[in-house]
Amino acid sequence: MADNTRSVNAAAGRRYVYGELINPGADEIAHERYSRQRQGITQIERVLRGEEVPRNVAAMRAALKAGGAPEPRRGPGFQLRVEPGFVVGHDTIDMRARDKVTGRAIYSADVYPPGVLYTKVLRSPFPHAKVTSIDVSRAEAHPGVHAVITYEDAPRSSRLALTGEPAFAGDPVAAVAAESEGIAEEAVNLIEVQYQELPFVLSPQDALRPGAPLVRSGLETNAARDPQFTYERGDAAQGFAEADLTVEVSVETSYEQHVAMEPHNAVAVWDDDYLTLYTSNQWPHGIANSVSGELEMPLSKVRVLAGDTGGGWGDKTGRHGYHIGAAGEKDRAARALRAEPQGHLRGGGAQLPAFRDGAARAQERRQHHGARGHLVRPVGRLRPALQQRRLGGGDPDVQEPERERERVQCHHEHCGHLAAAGGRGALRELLTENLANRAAEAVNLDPVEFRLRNIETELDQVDDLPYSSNGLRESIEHGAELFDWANRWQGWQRQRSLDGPQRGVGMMCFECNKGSASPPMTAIVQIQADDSVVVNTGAADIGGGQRTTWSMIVAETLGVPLDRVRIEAMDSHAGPDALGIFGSRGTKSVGTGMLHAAMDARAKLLQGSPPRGRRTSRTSTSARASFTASATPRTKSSR
Amino acid sequence: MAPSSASRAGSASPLLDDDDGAATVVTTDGSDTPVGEGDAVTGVIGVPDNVPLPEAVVTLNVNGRDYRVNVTANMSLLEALRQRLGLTGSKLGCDRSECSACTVIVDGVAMNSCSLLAIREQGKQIVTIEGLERDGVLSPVQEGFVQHMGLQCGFCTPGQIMQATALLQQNPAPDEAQVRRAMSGNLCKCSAYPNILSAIRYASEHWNA
Repeated sequence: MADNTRSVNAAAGRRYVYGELINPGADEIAHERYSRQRQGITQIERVLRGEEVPRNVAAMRAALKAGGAPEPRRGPGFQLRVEPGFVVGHDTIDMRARDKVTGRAIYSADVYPPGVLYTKVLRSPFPHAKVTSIDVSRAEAHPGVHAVITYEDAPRSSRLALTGEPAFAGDPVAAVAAESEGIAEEAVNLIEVQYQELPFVLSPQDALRPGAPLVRSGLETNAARDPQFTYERGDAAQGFAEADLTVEVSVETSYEQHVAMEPHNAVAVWDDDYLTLYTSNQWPHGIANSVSGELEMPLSKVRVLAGDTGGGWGDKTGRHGYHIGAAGEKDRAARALRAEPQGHLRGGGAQLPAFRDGAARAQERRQHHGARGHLVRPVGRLRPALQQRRLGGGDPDVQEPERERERVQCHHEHCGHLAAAGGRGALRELLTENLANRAAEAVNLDPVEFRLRNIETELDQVDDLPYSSNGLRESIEHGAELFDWANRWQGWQRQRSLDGPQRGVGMMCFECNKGSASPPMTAIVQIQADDSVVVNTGAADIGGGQRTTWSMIVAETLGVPLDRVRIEAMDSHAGPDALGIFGSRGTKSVGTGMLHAAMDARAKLLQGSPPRGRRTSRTSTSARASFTASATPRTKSSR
Repeated sequence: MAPSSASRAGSASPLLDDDDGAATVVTTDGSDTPVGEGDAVTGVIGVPDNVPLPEAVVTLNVNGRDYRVNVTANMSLLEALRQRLGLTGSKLGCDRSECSACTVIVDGVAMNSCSLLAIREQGKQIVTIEGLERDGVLSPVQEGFVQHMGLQCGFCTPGQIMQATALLQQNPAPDEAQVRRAMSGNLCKCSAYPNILSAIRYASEHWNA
């Protein structure tokens, strides 16, 4: 039995530092304010600063103290078996598949309102420049052009709107709305702009060097926060001092973009002072909130909805400039197509002290994340690296310092959410796994063995709580067995032959934190008079079969056939805000909301007195009112 | 083995060929200009200088029906299908023959409709994703994509299905290498590729059924 008392004591050695925004723009300020109202970020910040422990963890700690900690379950934690239910656990054809293979599925760019205008944007060809003159008279006079706006007309507060000081090649300077896409494109070419080119910086490391060109005038530094976000645990210096040797790695990733098959787009339709925005997105309520703030309109008059969505990968979570641009013409509907994507550059360095006996007791890691540093969110669900649970564990005096995530601005596209390959996690894996291999090589140890000696399988080192199950040791052993590691591993720097193509073997773990269960998890389940079910949620279906999964959850809970459940989603006015579909939270978070709402509706139905003969007489059900239930379960964030 | 549609569509001249100039060009100010040796139209495509964009009424045969369509000289076949005929099943992805989400079948050959000029497609048989279903029955390729989940977000799916349909029309029993080769120009960010292969295998097995 693990010594669970240390789970409480270890918390004292943990420290978070979370920096303040440098030179926050109007939009960052608005976003932080919104986040505070909406998600209680202030509490999260206090938690990150170590001034407060999260409520659920505090409750769990109290329960642990009072009742003694539960015995951690041993055994293969990765073998999860679910007994098939009424609907869940059976192969099910995606409910959207038929519409998608016939071309009937409507994506937001497939919406063509009558008299719709087309917008096109003039983009800077230079990574950093100042517009010295701009002449739109020829564009305005071009037949079929409805309006031309430049950075001089755009609201200054606008995060991604037009600018007179473009900070990446592609930064929008002016925009045209015209009768057709072709005319708009021609008009854009008729705008005459003179630029003064300015020095630029493209890599995050260069951007932090003294004297580096600033991303835009008026900045003091290219760093986005001061201090950067830092997480420390234990005494790193001591860990490094005691070690026999230290290994180091540093990596840089190439430029990453989301590249959803469906390009960004928005179609704005005005009905007097009521705006409907069709846009391919992952979070209708979030975009509605941001657009309503930008346009100073009540949320009741901004409706955001998406049709089927052609992928998102994080990039379609927030509000972009084209949302405002499309909404710019109040008397006509307008489309913005193939609008701006975002991109990321990441890199970092890490150090690991190692002992001759194959132990590693500390790690220091620095990561940077570069792009144009408009912060989409302050910290969000930022969590210390998962790898802490894997390296340097197994020792009560474990020391796990790290420095994580410098956010840096350079002359690249805007940086938003990125889901690709585990987001930040991919960089952590790259650093940590390289470190582990180098350390193993330095002490001449089998890399599998090195990990088995250093993994933590009993205690979650982030929350200092014992695992109910972990399975990490079993996973590594099982993987090694499948790979025939024992026979294929020949030792470090051993090659069987120098002839022909070279083939090596290597070891790496990848840990994926999939499915964050985080509030708000809301849904409205309405049992209709004929026993069919309508579910309302504001959550999006970005193409991962979300509506099918949710339908299965509701059908299973209520005991109705799958085809009698209809999910009305992706509409900020039709359903409650269930937060965006990002972080792989669709099934776990939104699905949990639906599960609870369905259970609630079921309970209400059973408590009520159904009319006699309900099961046999279909006509009598019409007398029944529809039951509505909504639930926002505040379950703990689970990992 | 058919060459990739991307290379064929990409090689098409952006300028009009005069042998297609059967249509009358109608300028937006109402005056009619006959299409001459191509210069009357091509002249305004390059650098527009306050010259109204010429429009032409062309006849497009789509999914077995003739449509008279008013198109501008620089309008792609994809734009004509989506904006003029309301056939929004064909998708605009990259707009430059890289992703093939816009694939349609023109005279039996899979082509990227984003890179074809609508005005040049007169007299050809164009089949889009909307033209595959018959009396509510999915085509074998469509059925394969449903049964084998050859899609997630579905945005590339119409293009994938049209490419696969063109392949099977030419070769109803391709081996896997032929399928991979034929489908190599159709990108899927959701990476449904293994399922797409299964779907096409299913379609091949059910091709004559």
